[in-house]
Amino acid sequence: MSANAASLPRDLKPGTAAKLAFFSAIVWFCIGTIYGGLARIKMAYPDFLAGVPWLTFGVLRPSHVDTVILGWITMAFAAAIYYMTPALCNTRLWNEKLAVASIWLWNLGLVVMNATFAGGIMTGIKYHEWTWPIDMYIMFFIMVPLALNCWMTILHRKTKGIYISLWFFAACILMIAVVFVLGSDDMGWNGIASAYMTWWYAHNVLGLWITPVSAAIAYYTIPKVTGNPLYSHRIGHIHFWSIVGFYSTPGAHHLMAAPIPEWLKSFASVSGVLILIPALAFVTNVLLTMEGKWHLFVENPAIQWTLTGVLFAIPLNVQGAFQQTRAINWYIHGTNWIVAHAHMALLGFSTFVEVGAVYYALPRLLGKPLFSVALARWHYWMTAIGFMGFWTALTASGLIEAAAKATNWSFSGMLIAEHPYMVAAVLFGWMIVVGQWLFLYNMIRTATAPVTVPEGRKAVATAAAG
Amino acid sequence: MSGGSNGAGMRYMIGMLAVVVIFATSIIVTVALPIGQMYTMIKPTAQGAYISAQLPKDQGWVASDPLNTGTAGAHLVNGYGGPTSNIGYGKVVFLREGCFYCHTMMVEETKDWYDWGAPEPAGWWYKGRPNVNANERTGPDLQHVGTRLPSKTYLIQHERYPRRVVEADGATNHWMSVMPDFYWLSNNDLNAVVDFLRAMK
Repeated sequence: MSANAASLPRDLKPGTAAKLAFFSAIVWFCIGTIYGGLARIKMAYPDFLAGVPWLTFGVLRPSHVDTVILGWITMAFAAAIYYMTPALCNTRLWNEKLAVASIWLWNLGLVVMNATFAGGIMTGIKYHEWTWPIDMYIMFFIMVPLALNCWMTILHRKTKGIYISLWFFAACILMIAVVFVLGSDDMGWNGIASAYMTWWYAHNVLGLWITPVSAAIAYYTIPKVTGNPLYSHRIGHIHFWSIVGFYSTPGAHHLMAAPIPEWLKSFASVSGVLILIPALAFVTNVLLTMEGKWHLFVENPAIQWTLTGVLFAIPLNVQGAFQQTRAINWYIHGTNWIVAHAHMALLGFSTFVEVGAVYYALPRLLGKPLFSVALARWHYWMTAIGFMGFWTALTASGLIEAAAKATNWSFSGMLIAEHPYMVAAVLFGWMIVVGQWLFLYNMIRTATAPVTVPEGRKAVATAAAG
Repeated sequence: MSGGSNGAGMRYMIGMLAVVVIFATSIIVTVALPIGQMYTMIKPTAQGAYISAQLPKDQGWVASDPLNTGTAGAHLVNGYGGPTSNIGYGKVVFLREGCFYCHTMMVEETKDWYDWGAPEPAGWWYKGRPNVNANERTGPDLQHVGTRLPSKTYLIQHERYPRRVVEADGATNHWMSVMPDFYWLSNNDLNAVVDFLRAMK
């Protein structure tokens, strides 16, 4: 074995970064859901793990939210971007080494972030609990490499047009970077402006990053697996431009009861209803692309997951568009209804689409078939039933809290009434947690399975060996 | 090399430019205008002026003896702030322990008015940073808790063993409170957070 310089690869094998990112994301998904599961038990049984300072609800909640957003969803997005951008541009990733380094630094950053939370070092800004050194870390080691790789790959593409998924990838990275900076604690917002910017940031993380990039992934997976072309390029335009136009504006609808300018509330509320335009354009486009291929919904895990996510986007957006209007918001604001709605966005829509992308892309990246389709089905039903039960329990308890808020009913009476629903949320929640460990196991077994020689080539392989 | 032809490269650039222009417009409308309005038009109420004077300059980095080792003093350790009053440090503890995830500090125009007092104008939160007025409402609102529960002894007992205190108050059901115990907080921290709560009038 000679290891001279000429035989060393000049760049890593294409797909290295995507593979690493997919696996890291799945591991963080498993960890993040465990944080959530523990926090959920505390909501039902407050004495559980009581007295352990680094396992209080105040630590578990930000750890859960920030780990699933930054560790699972965003890293799965990065994996999808690293996989889909070169595929759609008919070229290789601009800089594979940069991407791989970024993913390892990303993993390290998540460990540091969770450690600081356990030590009580946090900003108190929702979805942005990490402190300013981690802000800088995320900006320079995660966002900039991701943006560079995405934009430069598109710039160096070998195709003429740019497919719709790439519009979203390229534009959303730009917008989320701006949102991230403006929403960070380093900006020093204070007074009621601090509350407003917290929600402006929090809503835009969903509206300009989590939901549109999920949609972009669905725009790739569905046509790719079904073999149908995307139903309408024009509807795609409506989706994209209305996201850029309306989805960056409704942050104030989280503060309908707060003393912020009234014009801002009305503006946010109207643009909040207009979100129905991109949402329904997307759902329509994807569901019509399925024409003639609906049997894949039950046959192909990638389609099953992606379509379930797309279908969850319908109640998600109808709920989201109307619950933020003043007529409904005063009743359900601050209740578990909102927690259920947030899980519909992050778990019901976004996560299902990303898991679909994992089931599509990871076996292809590894060059091996999925280890077990049966396990994939167990994963699907554990997550789907777990999520729907969880959502129902939280929505019901949210309505109980809302009734207590509006009628002559004591706060403690409300807590007693919602306790059974809190227990149900624990049970369904842990169904989701266990499902993700099946997912991880399935993917590890897929990756470590020996390479099998197809039946037809066995004779050739034996002859060559003999 | 940019795409299959110059036309395609131009379309990419024009598209990105359009995104930048539309997004910049939305930032002007939803950030620059309202934030400017909030900073210039909101004047502190008496309570807002009192509390804002107590708060540390920067609460962005909240850590003082988080693991209860007894080694850190009752002052704020943060990025730039330095020592502050007990009330200011109480807010730090309030943030550090994540109290605000379950307790809002913003009564709404519902039955809240009857239970917890009148909603306040924006000047009530004057200079508060970060502003922890509203999140989920798993526990009661604390905007006027200092008026409602003025007793320091009661509040300290309640922070330590909330569910036992609620039961001692005559609770008939085990789930009348779902607040976890904070008996493991140091006396310093407990005192500070209770002083902070009592200042919320």
